[in-house]
Amino acid sequence: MKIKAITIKGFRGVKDQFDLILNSKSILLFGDNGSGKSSITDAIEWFYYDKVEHLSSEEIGKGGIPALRNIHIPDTEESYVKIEYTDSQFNNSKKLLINKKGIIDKRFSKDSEDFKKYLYETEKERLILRYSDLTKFILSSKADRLKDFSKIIGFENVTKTKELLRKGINYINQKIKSKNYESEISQRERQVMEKLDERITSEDRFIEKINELIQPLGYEKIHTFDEISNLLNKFKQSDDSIIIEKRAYYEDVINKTNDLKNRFQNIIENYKEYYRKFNDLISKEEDLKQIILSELWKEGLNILERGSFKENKCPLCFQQKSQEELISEIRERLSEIESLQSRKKELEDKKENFQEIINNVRSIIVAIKSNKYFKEEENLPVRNFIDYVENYIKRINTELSKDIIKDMELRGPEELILKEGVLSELIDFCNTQYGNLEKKLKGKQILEVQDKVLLSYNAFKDILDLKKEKEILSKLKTSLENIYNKFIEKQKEELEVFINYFSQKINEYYSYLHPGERVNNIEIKLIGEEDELKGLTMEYDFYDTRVSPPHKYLSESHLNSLGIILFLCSVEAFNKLNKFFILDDVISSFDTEHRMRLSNLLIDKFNDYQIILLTHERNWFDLMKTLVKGKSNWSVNIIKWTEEKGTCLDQKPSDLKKLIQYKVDNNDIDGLPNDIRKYLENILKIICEKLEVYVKYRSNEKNELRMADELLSCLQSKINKQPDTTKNIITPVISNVKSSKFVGNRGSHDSSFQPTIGDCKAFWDDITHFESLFFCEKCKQYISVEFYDNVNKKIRCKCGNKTFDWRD
Amino acid sequence: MSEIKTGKEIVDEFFQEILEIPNVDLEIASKIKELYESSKFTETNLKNLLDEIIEQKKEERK
Repeated sequence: MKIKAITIKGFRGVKDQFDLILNSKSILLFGDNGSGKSSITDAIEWFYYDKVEHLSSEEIGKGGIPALRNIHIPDTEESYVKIEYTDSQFNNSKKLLINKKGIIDKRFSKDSEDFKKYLYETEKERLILRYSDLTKFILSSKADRLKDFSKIIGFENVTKTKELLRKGINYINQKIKSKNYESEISQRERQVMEKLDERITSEDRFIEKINELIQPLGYEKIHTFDEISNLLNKFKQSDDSIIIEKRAYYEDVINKTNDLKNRFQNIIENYKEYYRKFNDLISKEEDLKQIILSELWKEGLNILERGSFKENKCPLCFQQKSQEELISEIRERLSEIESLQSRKKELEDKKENFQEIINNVRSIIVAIKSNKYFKEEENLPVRNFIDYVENYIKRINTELSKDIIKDMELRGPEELILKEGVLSELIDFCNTQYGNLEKKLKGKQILEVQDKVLLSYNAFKDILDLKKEKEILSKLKTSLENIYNKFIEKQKEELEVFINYFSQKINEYYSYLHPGERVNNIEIKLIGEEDELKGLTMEYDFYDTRVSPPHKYLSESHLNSLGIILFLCSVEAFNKLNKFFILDDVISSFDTEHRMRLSNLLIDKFNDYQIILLTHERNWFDLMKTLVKGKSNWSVNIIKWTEEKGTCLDQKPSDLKKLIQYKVDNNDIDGLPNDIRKYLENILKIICEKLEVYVKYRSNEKNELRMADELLSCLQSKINKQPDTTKNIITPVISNVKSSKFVGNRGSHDSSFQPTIGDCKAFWDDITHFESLFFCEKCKQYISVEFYDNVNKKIRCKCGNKTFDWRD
Repeated sequence: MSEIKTGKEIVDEFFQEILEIPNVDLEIASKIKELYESSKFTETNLKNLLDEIIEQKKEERK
């Protein structure tokens, strides 16, 4: 399937309606920098993929959508991209709307299942290659090259999915690490041992042991773990139940405080490490500041790569420098601070891990506070302790929330050491309370048993919960790791298939572009370390020696070729539905010789495809124009930018005529009345000039703004002075045009009258009839006083085929 | 020679076969598959899903 027409309005650089009539032909489009060529690519990318990748920076976000509407159109005006295909059932228009709340929304005019399926299938195809994709590929490091290579051949989905699966595993790992299950479980095992005088490993044994304890009391045996809670309720009915509960509370606080001891130790150790890493980064203050600049560089690089600025100077300091040098220098700087950024990222990861440890301390505090005895007057020391700990965590958090670039300073670990004795003082207090309560017990055997059952039950229950949680996380981790490993295996396998499949084509196309250059047997190699695919490199015979990587010996022009070849190979392999693709300014680093070869490659080998070829290189445009001249499946045009219309085609009247005819043939009324009115004004200007029709004087540009009414009236005055033979032919036609011109005037302005396609067709018939009176199809010239026949008193076209009686 | 596939085809195919990967909890695999198929396979959604699975499994065992 190919494209018949693309219509864009109010999108990126395009303000007024922009019609690109292709009729399934390839097109070569030239546009100076800033003319808005890439608006066409952006529009197609958004139409298919619902995003414009190069605009999807953090600042713009949402797939670049906020930057898509033309900024000069009011919110009430439509912004849309319409594509018509050789298979008209897929013709569709995608609108970018602003709703009442100012939120941008989008909608296809036709939402059929067939179209949805078409979009889904198209996602698998390769439609667009931009200059920026190529430069990234050429200049990237070997690890990044796998990513950029993936982008060219359409493997981004694979890389993104792999990264996401990896993040899932890291997330679970972090949880397991911060929970510290081993230490938690062994601490509670000690508590059980203390109460039951035995190391208990199974639930059954625990139940047996409880039954042994309650047997002397004559209580009924328990059979399941859950029945212990009923048993505890029975105990509660005794007189000393409050004392027992309080004892259990103090014992629990003691255990939790002991647990906190380890956790605070862990916090201090982590803080020391965090502090060291933080200061290590700060010692490179100047480099750190460059991290801020890196955002500017990345944006600058983005602008240069997508070709928005192509002068040979730095856009900031205006220092003279070639584009290639500039890009290469920015990449070098970015690569220099790459390691610093990765260390900053490490610090952020550390912080995230640290937060998890702090969260665990918080849950212990919440557990202590939630007990009903916490608020009792006698427990003031417990409350003071909790206040102190909460304040301590707050201080740690204040330090963690500091921004390394803005704040530049952390409190030293010595300032954050826990006050000496604070934990042991609380333990002492709880032990004293515990002992005092024991003295208040009435000494019955039942109370001793109750004490043992309650405390060992709580500890054993915790053990079971912790073990279960650990098991859940471990199983989850194993599952995720197995999924991830399978994915890596698949990625490697499929990339190898791709590379093997195309090695022949790559060599064939490369030899076509670079014949006799002693670069042979190019092979793309995957670099795998352990179980993971780390990168990509290329090997080739260079003057009969096997060499790698490509940067070592190949120029940018050669690497550019490789990038284009990879894309073209992907087009051949993947484009099953769409027989078209877009090359947006891809030859910038090609020298003249290779530009010629690329042109021939596209024309010879991709003759079956519809190519939308955009360039800002005038020389290549002229060369390509010569090569496609006379080829019926190619057309050529120029894009320009005006304040009034935004991006538009440099439209000759003949182009406008083709556009109108196309719309009339396809019953497309969108903008048609206005197009016909513009066409009428254009031809009237020519006819009036040729017939020396005098109009009222107007200065400079106002002269260009004459309306059809004025020109038609002046023309009619001139015709009125002519012989009847002429007057009788022309006057009725002018009258028809004057009447039907109403359609053009009304249809092109806001009006309650909405012309139908029938009105437009009638209007168009009148215009073409009117033009045919003055325009000769044989010599392609208008009748002109220049060709006045003095003898016969006639005016004529150049060849004399069309004549009128004429009074000089 | 194996048939050449696009990135999307590879990922689609992988998620179609995810339930057959040995030693993978079926419930986890099918929830991840569901996330992908509803075009919601993002870092935040994946983390939320993992938290949800953990909580659900804890509840199941109580």
